[in-house]
Amino acid sequence: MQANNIFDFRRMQLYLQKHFADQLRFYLMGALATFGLVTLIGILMVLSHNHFDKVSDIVPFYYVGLFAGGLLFTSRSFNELVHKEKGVDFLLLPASQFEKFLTLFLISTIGFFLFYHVSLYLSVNIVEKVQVAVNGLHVQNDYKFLSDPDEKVYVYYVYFVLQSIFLFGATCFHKYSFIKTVLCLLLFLFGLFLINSVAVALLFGWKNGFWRPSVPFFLVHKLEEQHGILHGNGTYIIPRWLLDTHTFILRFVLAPVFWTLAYFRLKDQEI
Amino acid sequence: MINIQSLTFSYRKNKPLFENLQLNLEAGHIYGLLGKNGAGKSTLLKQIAGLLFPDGGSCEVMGYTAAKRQPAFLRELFLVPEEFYLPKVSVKKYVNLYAPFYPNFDEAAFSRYLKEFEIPREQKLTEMSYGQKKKVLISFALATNTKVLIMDEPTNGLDIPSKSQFRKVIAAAVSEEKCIIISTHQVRDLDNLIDSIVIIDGHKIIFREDVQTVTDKLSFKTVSRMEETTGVLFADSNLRGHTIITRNAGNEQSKIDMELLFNAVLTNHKPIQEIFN
Repeated sequence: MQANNIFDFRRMQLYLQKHFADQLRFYLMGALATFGLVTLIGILMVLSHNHFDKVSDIVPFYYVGLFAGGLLFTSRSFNELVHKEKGVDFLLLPASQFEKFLTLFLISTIGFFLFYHVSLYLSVNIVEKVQVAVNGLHVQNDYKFLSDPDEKVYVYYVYFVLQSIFLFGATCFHKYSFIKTVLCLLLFLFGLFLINSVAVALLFGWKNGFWRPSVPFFLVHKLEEQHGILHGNGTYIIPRWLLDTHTFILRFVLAPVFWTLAYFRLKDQEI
Repeated sequence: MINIQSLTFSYRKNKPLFENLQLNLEAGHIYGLLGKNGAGKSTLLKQIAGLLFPDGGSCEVMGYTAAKRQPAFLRELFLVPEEFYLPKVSVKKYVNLYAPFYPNFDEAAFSRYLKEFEIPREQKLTEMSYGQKKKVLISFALATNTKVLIMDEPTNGLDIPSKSQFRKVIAAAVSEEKCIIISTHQVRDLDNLIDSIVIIDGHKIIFREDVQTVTDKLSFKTVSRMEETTGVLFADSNLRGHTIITRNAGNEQSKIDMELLFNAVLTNHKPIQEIFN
């Protein structure tokens, strides 16, 4: 029978089984370490007379954990390619490149996202129970993650854009992928800042250096000098249609573009 | 079965490893790929397996472009690399995980090969020595019954009894549909095993003949005094006298000395090549 060279559900299932058998120890240890560390730090804070009154006290830890954990985990998605022997095993296993990519993509996006939220939910519940036992204080839910205010949802868009960039980075850099991707990203952002600064300065002039407080592609905050003191004098936001275009790109274009690039980079891997 | 046309490849710019390399390999043969260190044996095997991509020319295996690494191609090719990876599971689990990817995997044959190599099936791969692991991988590779089987230095790390076991299992596994390529620099390990010789040197295939043709056209002898012989193409002295290669003028059948032939082709290529043209 002619094999489907792009996608075969049974083959994908076999590849998932093989992948989990290979990585099970790492995933279990990583999951236990993350869950244990978060829970332990929370309990120690409660026991040392710090307490969490409301969810918004925990939120900064949640975001830091989501970004740091998610991006670090994504960076090691193609860890097999670091070692020649593992790389040969990975590339020559009779599954399509799409099936291999999809497996690692699903694990590093949905897999990590689900694990992180379940793990954090359990940790917070345990820490709250300890807090109730020690201080009799419950954690008040004063924070809505997605809708209050609406802008909070952009944290997740930014997360997935960064996740896609780090997945692409993992296909470009096999060793020290996380550090190299961070460096490249910083270089890129610095380049963007320079271009934006020059563009803003050409439009508004160099005086008072008001190109500094600007958000590339979105707004310029104008500074003016009065009696030798600089103060804000209005914010110039790009037109609505351009703002909508940029927002659309951030929400729906950037992440899929980097995921697609990562897939094609994987297809081009040589050992 | 394997058709390499005008292959050009280099790891570094202006330092080509292969230039316009041509090679055709057919099913039903065991090819011995010989070459000096750094001649490009492993690189050529990687090109065939699709692990490296040609800079120029083409590498087609069973009609597939190797570099595309399509599942239909991969399930009919198995590579036993010199340095290999086996997961930290038992032999049984390894078979359960990997065998379903190979439609012609023969479980009974796998057990037979393991028995021949004296590897207990219940043993964990982590508890095995390098040589034992290699024997498991070779057994698995043979049991997959892929049309193309590539082995890069398969006898490295095997002890002396294992080397003869290796020859035995390979000889048992050969069939008309299979093309087996074995790369090695330990040419004596391939004695009585390979039926075709491919020698790679100086970016090209410089010699490609089947063993029968070699023994038809060349004579391998040991003589005590060099003066007694004429027309020596290559000679190597040892304690027993001199092992020599001459043209086989009298149609006598001699046993091929792979190491001697290899050295002869490298050092005295032109006259030897003229005999085969």
